[in-house]
Amino acid sequence: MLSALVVSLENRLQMCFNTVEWNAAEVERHMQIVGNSASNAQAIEDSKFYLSQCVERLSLHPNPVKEAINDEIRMELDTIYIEKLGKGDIWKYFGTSSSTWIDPYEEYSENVVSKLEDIYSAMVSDDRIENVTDNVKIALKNCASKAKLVLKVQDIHMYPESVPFMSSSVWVSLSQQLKRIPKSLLEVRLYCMRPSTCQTTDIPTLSHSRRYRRRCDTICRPPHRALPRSPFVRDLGRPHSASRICTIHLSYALQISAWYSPLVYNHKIVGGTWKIGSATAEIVRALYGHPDIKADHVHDAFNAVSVYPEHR
Amino acid sequence: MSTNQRLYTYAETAEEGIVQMFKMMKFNGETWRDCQIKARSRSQSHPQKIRVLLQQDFVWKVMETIVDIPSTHYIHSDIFKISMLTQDLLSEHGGVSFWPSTGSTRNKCSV
Repeated sequence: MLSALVVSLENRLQMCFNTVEWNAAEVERHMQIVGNSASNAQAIEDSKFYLSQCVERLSLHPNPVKEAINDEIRMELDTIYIEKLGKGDIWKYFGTSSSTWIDPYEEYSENVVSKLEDIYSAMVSDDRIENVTDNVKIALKNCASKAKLVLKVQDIHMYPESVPFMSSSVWVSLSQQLKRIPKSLLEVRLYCMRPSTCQTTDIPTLSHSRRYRRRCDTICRPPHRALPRSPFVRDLGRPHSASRICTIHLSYALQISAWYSPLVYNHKIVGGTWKIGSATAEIVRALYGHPDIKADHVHDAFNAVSVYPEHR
Repeated sequence: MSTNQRLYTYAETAEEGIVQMFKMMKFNGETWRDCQIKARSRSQSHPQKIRVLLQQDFVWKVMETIVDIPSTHYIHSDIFKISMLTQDLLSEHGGVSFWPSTGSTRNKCSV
């Protein structure tokens, strides 16, 4: 997932540096029409069509001018990302449509566009532009306008929205964000893959529990520590009742299903119209979507975490 | 000189090693399928990690993205440590859904 994101975000950056014929004034005019709510519906439709064609031309262009994206531009992108999006809790909302992310993202895109313009005009003013090849000249000339379009673009099929350009800090944020996946998978493996452990007769031995205790302790750092401890680490002298164990399993299963829900919420089909169901629905999705559980055992696993023993 | 030879031997870091090896293979027209270390050179560190990384198809794609460019931004940044690369790319979140999400047809995902 990380590698796919890195490749696609880098492609997104390279879309802005190529030799596509570009009419900056025309693009600017159409973007103003789309942004202005007072203009009529037909004009907005036409402008959207024009802009989407522009984006398509950019994305289909086979030869980006990689030389144009020099160290200076990358460093500036990195700095702007850290200033606007990488600080505090903002990066935890990476690419979502919540206002915590969207508002700084607007600032980010404005800053990037103005910085690219500055870099180009600085190169022109101190004649550094004469030292580069013709392709790089063309690419740098229009990159700010292209970047503005690419960063603002919305409602185009199969195209990412409101994500920044690639730089090394983006990698760090993404990898921090995605580290939740292996952690959740480990939890699923521990608590859901073993439906038999839910029955009171099948208590793991002490040697088992020692091994699991160590793993549980590494997973269950705060805020998870507020939850009841797992049956694996309970004191063997005072066994819990069956329903108690089931309650504990249920709470862990709720925690586990969290690995799956970001994928559900971020999906476009689900969007705003679909209401999220109960917590049980989350568990069902997590169990059925989990790649490690065999299809035959999914139902057992579901029974183990959701049905109380007396109802079985 | 012979007794002091250790002082003059050049030790290559793992990061240099992976960049060097990737660029060499790219120049020779090889891909991740051809990756193998034939003879272990004494100056190379972490040859096993480099080999495992470059044998993954998705790591190859990432390398093409972040190494095979004129800029040295990524190579000189904090993300480009051999331990970080191994942790990030070879774990479940690194490459597990690369092929499904790029729309390529392949039966097995590489975890």
